[in-house]
Amino acid sequence: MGASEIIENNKLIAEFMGFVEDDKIYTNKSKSNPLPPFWNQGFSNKCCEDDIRFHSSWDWLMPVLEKIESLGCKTVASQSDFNDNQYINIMTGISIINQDAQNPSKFMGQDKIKINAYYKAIVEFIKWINQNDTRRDK
Amino acid sequence: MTQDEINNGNKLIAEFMGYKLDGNIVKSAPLDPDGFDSWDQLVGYNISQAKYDSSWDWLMPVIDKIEQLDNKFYLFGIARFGVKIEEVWIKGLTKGIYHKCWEDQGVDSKILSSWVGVIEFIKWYTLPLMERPYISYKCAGCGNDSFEYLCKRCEAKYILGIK
Repeated sequence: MGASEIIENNKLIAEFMGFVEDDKIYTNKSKSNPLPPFWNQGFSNKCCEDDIRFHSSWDWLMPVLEKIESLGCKTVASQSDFNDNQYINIMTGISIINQDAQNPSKFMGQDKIKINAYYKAIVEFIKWINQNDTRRDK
Repeated sequence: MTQDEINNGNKLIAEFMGYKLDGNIVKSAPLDPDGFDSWDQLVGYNISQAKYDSSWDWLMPVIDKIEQLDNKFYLFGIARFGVKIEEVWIKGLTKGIYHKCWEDQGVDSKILSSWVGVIEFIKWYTLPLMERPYISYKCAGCGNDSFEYLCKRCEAKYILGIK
């Protein structure tokens, strides 16, 4: 994943988490989703684009997964015992028989590196929920 | 959970990760994968400064280490407020070590449920090999107790239940 793609994906996640961007400075405007204390260490409720670490820090990424779970999605993460890949499934709540190309039953992230697997699934889920689902407004 | 319980749990994890302690003071750090003594974030501090119970950046490397033990022998599954840890016999066949869902028991912290799973695994792993218990599953079809997920007595139906 290139640097520009990471910046774009981090921006997507930040907005999902209630951050508002103004000239590459992100401010946490979320009221319904209070952030864990470690989010605010060092930069109050603001941070600049280059400091966003959803792609590299578990302390940044896991609260995103917890927000996804709070929207009614189930998640399961483990390691495949077939090919050593790390994986995570985010189940959208749409049943297999009702799913179609626009509304999948799950998003699956796979990678040799665990945080990359989580990151991929979370980014794909947010892209989907931004276009297809009203749960993001909760 | 009391602060003492958290400190004792974090001490167990720190020792599992290779830190050497004298009482509650961390004396030396483990070598990193490249052989350098660079994991020194705790050295000189009291174990109460450890954040395995509250920071995913601390806890996830422990889960990574568990999954890499014994030539990748263990699977550590994390659900919303639940953890399932399994030992791989052969590819595709596993035995249950720990399986708990906290959601029905009033625990709503994902990191704390994972932290408890880590501690239970370490306690299990430090037992002598022949004394390590496995979860017994009960077959939904015939009621047969088994350590495996597939019942050999009634045509390989999935086995349900925990313990």
